[in-house]
Amino acid sequence: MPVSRMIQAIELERQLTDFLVHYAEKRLRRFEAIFELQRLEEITFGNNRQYWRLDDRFRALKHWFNHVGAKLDESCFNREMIFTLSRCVEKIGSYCRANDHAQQTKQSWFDFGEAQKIALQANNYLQSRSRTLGYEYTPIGLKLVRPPENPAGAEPVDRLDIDAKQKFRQSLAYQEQMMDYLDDPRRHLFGIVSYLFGEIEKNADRRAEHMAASILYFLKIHGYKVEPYVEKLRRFRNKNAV
Amino acid sequence: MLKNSDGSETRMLFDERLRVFYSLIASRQFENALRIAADIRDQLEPADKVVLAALALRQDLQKFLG
Repeated sequence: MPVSRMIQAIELERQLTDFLVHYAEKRLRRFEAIFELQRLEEITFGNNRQYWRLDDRFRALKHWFNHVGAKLDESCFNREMIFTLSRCVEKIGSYCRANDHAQQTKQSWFDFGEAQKIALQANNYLQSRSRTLGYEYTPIGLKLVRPPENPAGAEPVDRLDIDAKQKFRQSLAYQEQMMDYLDDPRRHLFGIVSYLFGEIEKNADRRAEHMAASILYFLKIHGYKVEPYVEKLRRFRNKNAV
Repeated sequence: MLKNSDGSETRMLFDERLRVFYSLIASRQFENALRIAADIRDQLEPADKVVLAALALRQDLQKFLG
């Protein structure tokens, strides 16, 4: 087997391993977040004796939002988790909503002001975690207000596609202009490729690189031997890619 | 693990296996991960199936490289 193919296989194996390990770590973080969200559900909705007094329930909620929820990475949250979280936030809010009579009754057995602070904290937490997925928590529930945000550095495929088409058109226009500029009956297409190689070497011009590759492919399908030129182009590519 | 809406034990078992599957990958025990995945292959979601395909490809590459 050629050494170059062996090197490519080794590199692919390395990249696959990195992808698998990183993705698995991300999925494990999501599993942990789901587990912690279930814990939040238990605290919020649970009928456990531990939370019979609202003060105790709110104390546990405060601990969750300050020490557990704060550690959960925003990128872990998916749509289902955001909806679970919003159900909890609504319930927490409902503990703080009451008419005057009920409020007086509640005040006698829990710190209403502190509970309101925690409800606000829960609301803010939901807003921050749902933003990445394009949701906003409103008084009538969770609403999709815009397309999901993309992780830093990642562009939507459609956008990349539009950009690539535009760049391709620009590159074709460049090729046409260059052909006009270099149009000399005595100059062979290989001569134009040599000129373009000079441009690539001096300026690392990617449009010249594209044009050279295009001419070489044209010559190849018309029966010319182009390998030495292709090899030289490949060397430029590797050098410019570094 | 994530309980299903009906809280079914089957779903919990699946989620637990899926979690173990990813734990094994994260700790680079790829062959064990493939063994676990064999039992839950049919229930995997598309993204998990891509991971499984990547695992299988990696294994083939390793055989190829000796």
